[in-house]
Amino acid sequence: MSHRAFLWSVLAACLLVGASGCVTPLAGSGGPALVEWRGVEEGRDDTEARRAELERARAQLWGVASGVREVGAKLLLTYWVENGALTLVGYRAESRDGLEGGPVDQSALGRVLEPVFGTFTQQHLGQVQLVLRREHQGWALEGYTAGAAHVRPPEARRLPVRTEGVPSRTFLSVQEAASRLVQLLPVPHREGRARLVAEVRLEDGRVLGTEARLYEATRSGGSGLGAGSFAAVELASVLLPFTEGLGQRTVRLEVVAVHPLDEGARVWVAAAEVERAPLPYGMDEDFAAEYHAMHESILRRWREEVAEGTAWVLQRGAEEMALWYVGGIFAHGMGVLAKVSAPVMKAVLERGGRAAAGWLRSALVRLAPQERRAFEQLWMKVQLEGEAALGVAERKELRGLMLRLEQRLGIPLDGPQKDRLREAARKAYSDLHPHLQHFLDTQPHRHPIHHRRPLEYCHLFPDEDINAPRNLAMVRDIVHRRINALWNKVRAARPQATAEEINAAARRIDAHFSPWYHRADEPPGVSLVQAEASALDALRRLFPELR
Amino acid sequence: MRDIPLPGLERLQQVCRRLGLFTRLEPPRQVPPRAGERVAGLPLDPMLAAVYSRLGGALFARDLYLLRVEDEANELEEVNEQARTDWLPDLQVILFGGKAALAYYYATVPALADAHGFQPVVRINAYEMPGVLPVASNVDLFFDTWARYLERLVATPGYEEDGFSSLVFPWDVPDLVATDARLVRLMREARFAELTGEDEDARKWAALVLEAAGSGGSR
Repeated sequence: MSHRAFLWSVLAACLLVGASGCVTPLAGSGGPALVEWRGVEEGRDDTEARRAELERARAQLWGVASGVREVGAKLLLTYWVENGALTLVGYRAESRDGLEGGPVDQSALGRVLEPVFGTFTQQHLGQVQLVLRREHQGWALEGYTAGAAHVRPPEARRLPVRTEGVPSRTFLSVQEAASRLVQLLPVPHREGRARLVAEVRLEDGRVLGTEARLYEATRSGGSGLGAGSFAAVELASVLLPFTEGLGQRTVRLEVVAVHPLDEGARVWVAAAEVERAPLPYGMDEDFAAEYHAMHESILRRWREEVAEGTAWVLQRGAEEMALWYVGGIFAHGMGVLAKVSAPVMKAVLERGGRAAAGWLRSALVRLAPQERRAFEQLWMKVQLEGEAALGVAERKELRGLMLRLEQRLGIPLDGPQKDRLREAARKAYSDLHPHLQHFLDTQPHRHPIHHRRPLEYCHLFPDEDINAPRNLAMVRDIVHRRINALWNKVRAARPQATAEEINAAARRIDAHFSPWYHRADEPPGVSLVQAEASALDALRRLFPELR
Repeated sequence: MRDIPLPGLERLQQVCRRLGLFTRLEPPRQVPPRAGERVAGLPLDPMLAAVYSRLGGALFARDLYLLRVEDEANELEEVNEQARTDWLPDLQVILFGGKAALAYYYATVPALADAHGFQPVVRINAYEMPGVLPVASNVDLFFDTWARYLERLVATPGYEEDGFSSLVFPWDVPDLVATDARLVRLMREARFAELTGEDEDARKWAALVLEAAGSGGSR
């Protein structure tokens, strides 16, 4: 086997055999719902995942180190380590111009790495930089430095993933990216030296694109010929571990090519570092952190077991899914939405955060169950595999669903939709006010959840979440009936009420009934009869025809 | 009233126990209400009386409740009196339960009782009156349908997290409701028309149930 072929085979060993990495549409996934979510999954034993992390890191490091033959060369690798998950965040190679040493074997490197990849990475939290030095017959660990734990890079993972390699799609896209880049690096003439600075854009484990930023011949010019597949192996092996990270980022590579007088040309990656994108406009840090945690959890599940992971995502609750969808829309720069005429949806989602997630959650009730399911599957594919993974028909379908949702925002809700929203309001309210759960349990008929602006007017406020906490209040049934009676009068007086009129009516009702909101007893110093009469007067001033 | 079998109620209790769904059961009153006894002027359904001979009140799966009939509190009497004099004067029904923390009630309809005196059950949406949907031909079949609904609900993706994306009773289970042959017959004969009026939701619901009845079996 030639040295080049050997190196490709080393790199290919990093591949997860058989994992296509495709989201598989599911038919009626009815398995048991899982309760874990976000961050560390309760009850999950991560021993195997931690072991798999180390195996992947060792294999990937071997992929890099096996191509380094120059005695005296140093590799400096910086990882973020957390819960046994290893994310490469920086790479540097030094002194790559020495004489070639003898062959080394993988198990010897494994033994050298043991002090770091043994118990240390299992217990450490934060950065670790390890320095390896090439000797004539093997590698030596020159040292390792533990860094601070307080600044986690956004691409760093916190959950160990139980897979033996990287998905084939990732592997192939890294190969392609490396091959493209080496074409941009002409081999210098003899005694020449050149440098290429290039960027590889990544999202999760996907390569989104490559870009050359600088080609500089530092001694004599280039030959015009690409550096060839040997260099592509080197690039791919350095790039591959970076695909373990999360989210959108750019890996900036500095590639050096030298052509000594009496030897063949050599090409190596001198440095690779991650450039992080700033938070999307409008996305606050708390929401970003929550989104990233959820995204990592979903992605891990998906990587570990593609089909099962997809089912697992679909079993998540509407609240979490909405948050993930909205976070994803931010992370993807509204790409899919950009070509849809959906001004309301865009305006709301641009606000971001939990409010937008709540809005989307309530808005999705306007899609029929099969449409909602289609939306969830397509959007999940965008989030897990990128928009480019959508076929023409899928992209059209997703945009069609978004457009339909936008159009339905202006239509009054029907009975089943209102029922769904009321049930969701009940759940949201009891989550928000756990101290009131006792009353809901012991006197379930006495304390209905009240929408301060009724659901029947939801379509007049298309950009607002009808189930937003500020629109919900638990009231006693007797109070609820009094308020309902007033709304019945408003309905009769103004069958075609405008949004302004409904807002004005709600403000007047709130002004007199708010002492009864969020409580199970009678508020002191007020009278329900008086409140009703005063609210009725106020409404009559607003609508003179009200009886 | 112990002689009236209530397999539907038993099934509901078993399902809640098996699925670990929060349930609150109150002991029956020493002297439970009798069949035919007047509740706000209407005769109490014999099957409901049998239920009250076993339970003084209940909350199933933190969702479906049965109004209390206890020595200290008779919610059945109190709620129906209130309804008759205040918010439901024209609807000749006996409210006996509902959906917790929501203004959806379940009621029996004395005027549509069968030969045994068993009254059908309707859902009343107090958010938007009259809002009446027929859901069972008797109280025990109503509990039976609820038990089957809960089994399906728990097996539905997303239920564990919040139930929102999953099934809503009765809209998402017309097939379960449609297995009640007598109810379907009553609906076909438009026997609930006086209660439902021209309500759009009621028409939509009837279409769903009758369509499901056309393609499924019956109890």
